Amino acid sequence: MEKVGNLSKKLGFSVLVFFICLFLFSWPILSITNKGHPEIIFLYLFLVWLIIIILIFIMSRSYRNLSSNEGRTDKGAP
Amino acid sequence: MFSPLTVITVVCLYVGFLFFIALLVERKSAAGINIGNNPVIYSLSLAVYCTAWTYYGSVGKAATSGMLFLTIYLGPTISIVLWWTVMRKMVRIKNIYRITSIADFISARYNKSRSLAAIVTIVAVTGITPYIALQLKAIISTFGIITAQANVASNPSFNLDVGPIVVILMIVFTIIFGVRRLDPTERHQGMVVALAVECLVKLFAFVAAGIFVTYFLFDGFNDIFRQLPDNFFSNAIETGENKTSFYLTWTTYIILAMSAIMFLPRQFHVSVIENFDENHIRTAMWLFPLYMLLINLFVFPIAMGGLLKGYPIQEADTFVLGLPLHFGQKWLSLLVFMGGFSAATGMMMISSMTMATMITNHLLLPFIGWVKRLDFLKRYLLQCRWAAVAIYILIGYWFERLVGESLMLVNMGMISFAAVLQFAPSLIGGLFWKQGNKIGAISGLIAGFAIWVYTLLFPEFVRSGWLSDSLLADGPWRITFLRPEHLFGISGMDPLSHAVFWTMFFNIGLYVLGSLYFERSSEEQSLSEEFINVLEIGTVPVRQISREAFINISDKRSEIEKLLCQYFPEEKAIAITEQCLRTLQINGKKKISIIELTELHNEVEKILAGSIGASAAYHAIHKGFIYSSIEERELSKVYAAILADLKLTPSELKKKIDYYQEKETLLTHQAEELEEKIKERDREIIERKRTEEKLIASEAKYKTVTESSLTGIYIHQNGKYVFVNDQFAEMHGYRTEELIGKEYLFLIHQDERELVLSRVKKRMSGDKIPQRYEVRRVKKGGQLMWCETIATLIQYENKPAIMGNIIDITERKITETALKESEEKYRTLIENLNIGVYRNTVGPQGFFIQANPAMLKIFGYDFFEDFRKISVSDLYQQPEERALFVEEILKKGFVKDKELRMRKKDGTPIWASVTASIRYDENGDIKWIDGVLEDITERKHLEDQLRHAQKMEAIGTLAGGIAHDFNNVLTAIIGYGSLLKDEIGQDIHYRKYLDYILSAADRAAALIRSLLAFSRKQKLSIEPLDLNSIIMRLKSLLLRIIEENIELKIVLSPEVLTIMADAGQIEQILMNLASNARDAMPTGGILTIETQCVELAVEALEKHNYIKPGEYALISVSDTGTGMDENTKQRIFEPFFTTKEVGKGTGLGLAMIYGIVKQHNGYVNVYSEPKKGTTVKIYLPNIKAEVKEPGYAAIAPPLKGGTETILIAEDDKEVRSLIINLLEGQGYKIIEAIDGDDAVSKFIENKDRIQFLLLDVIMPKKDGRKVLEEITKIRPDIKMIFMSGYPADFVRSRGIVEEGLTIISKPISPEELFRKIRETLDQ
Repeated sequence: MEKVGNLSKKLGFSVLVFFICLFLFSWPILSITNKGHPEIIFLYLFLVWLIIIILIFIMSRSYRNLSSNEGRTDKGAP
Repeated sequence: MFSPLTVITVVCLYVGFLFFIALLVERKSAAGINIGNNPVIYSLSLAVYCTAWTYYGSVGKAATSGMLFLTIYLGPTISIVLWWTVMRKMVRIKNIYRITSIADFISARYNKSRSLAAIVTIVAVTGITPYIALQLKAIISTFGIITAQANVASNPSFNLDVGPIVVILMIVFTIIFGVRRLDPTERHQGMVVALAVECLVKLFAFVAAGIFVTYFLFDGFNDIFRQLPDNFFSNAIETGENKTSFYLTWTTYIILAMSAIMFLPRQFHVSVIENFDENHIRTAMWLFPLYMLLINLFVFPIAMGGLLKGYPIQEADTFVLGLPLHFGQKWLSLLVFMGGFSAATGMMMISSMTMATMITNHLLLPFIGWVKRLDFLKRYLLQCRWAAVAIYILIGYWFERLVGESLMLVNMGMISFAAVLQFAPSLIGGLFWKQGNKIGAISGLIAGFAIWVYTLLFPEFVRSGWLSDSLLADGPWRITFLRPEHLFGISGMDPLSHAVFWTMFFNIGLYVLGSLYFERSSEEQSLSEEFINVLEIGTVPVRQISREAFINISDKRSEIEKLLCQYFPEEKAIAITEQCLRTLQINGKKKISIIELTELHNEVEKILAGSIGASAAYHAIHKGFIYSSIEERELSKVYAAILADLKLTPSELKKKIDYYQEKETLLTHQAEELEEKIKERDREIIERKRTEEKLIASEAKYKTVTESSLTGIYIHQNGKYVFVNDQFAEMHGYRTEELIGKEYLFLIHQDERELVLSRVKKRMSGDKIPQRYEVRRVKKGGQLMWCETIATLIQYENKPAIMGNIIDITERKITETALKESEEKYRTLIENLNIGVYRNTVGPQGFFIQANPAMLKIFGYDFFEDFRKISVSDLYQQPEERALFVEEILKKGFVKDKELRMRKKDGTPIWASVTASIRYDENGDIKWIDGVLEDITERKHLEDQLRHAQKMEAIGTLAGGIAHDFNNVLTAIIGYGSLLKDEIGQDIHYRKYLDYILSAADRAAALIRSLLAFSRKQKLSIEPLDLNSIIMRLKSLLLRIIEENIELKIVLSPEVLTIMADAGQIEQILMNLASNARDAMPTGGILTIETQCVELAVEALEKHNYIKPGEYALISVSDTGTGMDENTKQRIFEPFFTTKEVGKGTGLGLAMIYGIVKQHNGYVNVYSEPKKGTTVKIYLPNIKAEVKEPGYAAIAPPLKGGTETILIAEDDKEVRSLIINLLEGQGYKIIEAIDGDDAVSKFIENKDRIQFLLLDVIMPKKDGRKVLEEITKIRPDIKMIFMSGYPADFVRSRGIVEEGLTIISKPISPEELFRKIRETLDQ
């Protein structure tokens, strides 16, 4: 689990997830599900969207330690 | 419905509520409680992205284009994945440089370029104006919808134009919320919280409308999808256009949305400028996409619901409001309207506020800088911003009025997205690419913007009627190559994708080219480093330099206040100045040093940048603060002191500076190299760590493998075991501890120790010897075991050692030995087999792969090398039969006892019996044919002979049977003929006929005898005879038989050949053969009769196993005649087979010879070839006995009759009558009986009278033997003769009649009958 956490902190991992997301919402993947009745593509898009949100949530949790070490708060607010 | 006043009231109340919240938040903030410093509020504020377009336009887009609307929200979700790096960088840079807008950000990166900031502002203003128009259009349209019926109902002539009201309200709201005062941080906590509330309201309203449509107008999602006709969309994300083009549009939308979420000025503002804490980004990364998912969940159902309810697709933009309204949900529709209002106002507020900041900071202030007369305006910066807000919103309203009607909402939104996409190359490049510079950014941005105007804005102007249609259709000046929507002739792309492609092509292209071509200034280099490495930048301690404080702080204070007063009210300016002094802790001082003065200037610049932007502040400070001559001198002194510390002359200083500059360059290079080396070292360390980990893992693995190994493992060093595993010890019957330190050779069998020792020595010296070998080892109890060993030279504790791996192969060795023996046994067996064993390839030709010696011998080959060269088909008499054989074996997989006509190497035909099967490999492919082959030529020959013999036997049996019945007939004919001849006396006329009859009957009798001779049923007078004598005696007779032109040669054996034979039969043989020879030599020739004594030994027995080995007298009769062919030869012994003309031969001559020879226990063979003559060889057993000269028949005494009473028992009436007549004619008294029983009863009746019995052998009821048995019981001495149709020896041989009793064979000649009866009575 620790290894997975470390992995998700790396920029390369974010880039990989970025391209996977791009791929999941692009041709030709869409053309596979985009056949027949509209409810299939509707279901596909929203389900994948939800899964990606969950994945981002997990990634953001792993950034917590990182940000506690180097994160900055702007104290310039009045 | 609602009256306009009601709606406006509600709107005002709502806005008042928001203002109250904002005010509360700001008051709390002043008290140190930052409500806005909250990740959820930060995330919700980002939802300003969901504008009226989402609220209304998405539904319209879903109705016309299926799921395409979703790309606007999927794009941000995708780009958000990278926010932790990208957004964090931007936020941190913002904090360092007090960035106020995206224009400020870009300009700060590229040497605080004012021109670049101005260009960015122009692009943003131009690009975002349509978006403002979009929001206004939404509010105005929906206001019209929600108040429409009320207007008509209350006052049909009343037609409220709500546009100006909305515009005024928006200007007021924006100024109140966002531009109420100048804020050095440009952060508006109250506005952000109000925005978050608005975002919640619009989400709640839209979801409520969605639930109403989905679950109240329909029965849920499934119901809506079920009601959709199958062909409603050809598929859900296709518009029916070209499919490729559609996916291109889809991708373009996603790309635009990905950039819009970060580079739209309002998004940049809420996500970067308004960010309190970098950690808020983490929450926003998932919460904001979740918000977008929820607000979009019901878009498609609402769109489809509206269409299914029969509303026209043109009104789809208003379904979300129209559906609740039309279905009587008045309050819900008001909620929906307020949601839309929130979406639109939120966007307009943030957008116009940020645009106003950009306009004033980057357009107005530089302009004021140029036009000195407008300098006073600097003091009215806040008011200028208000004006900017008002102008900006008014331009938006003007644009809405101008082109709004010609466009769908979504198109206007996408045009704005495409405009902000132009910021992406310079911004992203600025964050990640060191080489990116100002010229590249400016040229790329200008080019991208120009193409955007030309390819997107102009076409919209054309559609709105501002420009001529010919621009789109024919291009400018009819240059079709430059048509805005088909630039450079590109077609097949939708206008948006087309514009995105060309803008990015030129923007990125020029940005990269410009950056590569032009050098960066040193400041730019420094900035680029700071921007790129912003996440890695730490705090660098600065050496304090103390200087004399001589500058009057009050002068400087007033100077600063004067500068600030250009931008802020006086109080504000004083407060900022005070704050700067406080920050530097010099507020209590009267005098400050020159160093403190420069730091004060920096602080003021930073504060000022927060209000007017980094670039404007930079230029304002450098312009506003002029050092006095004393200050300059002091500053020079500071530098001089620094130089003095260095103890250098000016020329040396120059040199030093050059040197240090050079050194710096070198150091930079070195630093880069060092950095690279550090990275390399890091990589090495990582690699080493990995190696160590691997080593540890490997050792652990090695230990596990060694301990759990099924093979024995040992290491010996200096002749002693230093390591053995448990398995090794166990294999030898020891414990591990017992073996450590022991000499390794003691476990090796003594016979092999020398060999092992030499191997170890060679291995240790590095010689290449095989690793694997087999050796015998000794167990603890002395038992031997065979082990396979794999030995390797290794380093053990830094010294060479031998590591070995052993497997106990004793069982395998035993098995191998057994296998070898078995193989040897079977090899010997096969090689010694008389049957051929072979393996050959499949195919019409076929070649031998293996064959045993017997196989070679069968086909007459000596060496397998010769045999393998021939094809299998060569061994067939008819090579095409090979193909038939292969076909059969392929079909069945095997053949069994297949008889084949083959031939030897020399061509000799042979018969072979083959049993073979096909062998397959593991893939199921045919490998070869394995088979056994037996030479059955001799067996076939014997079978032929046997068949022939059986045939002859059958024919003989048939002939014998016929002869029996014929003899009865002939007995009657000859008997009665003889009686008649006696009766008629000398009557010549009848006597002649009678002689013909008797003559014919004699010929018939002769034929019957021949048949009986063939069937070996004739009576023989066997006695020892000299064969040569018989031949010599017969010579004269033979000479009479053959013609004169035939020479008779008799070559007799010098030794006496004694045979047991009937002389007459032997003579008959020779006469028949001579007769045949004569007929075969019509033109003459030589007839040779030869005798010799031959020994038929084992060889003959092998060839003719029907022959008994022993000494034989051979009679060889050869002629030089025509000979005969094989077919004739096969049939010559068959009765009635003849090649002679009809009437010239009976066909019984050779059949008789065959029968006679067989009856004499001899053998006959014929050798003949056409035109080469024939040789008949007759083998008769040669015996050692005294020869008896053949007697000559004595002169028969005259016939005598008698008076005795004779009982005649004969079932054949004619024969019985004949005999009675004959015997009564001789004076005998006759009692006749018709069968066996009758004979016995007649004898009993006349036992005293009957003196002689004449009994037929075979009779009905009781045969002659039984009749005799019963009669002899009454009269043991009774005399009798048997009569039989069969020859006497035949009858005796079958035990029918005992030896010693007289038998007379039919046909009975009267003379013989009388003589035999008389002789018996007289004995």
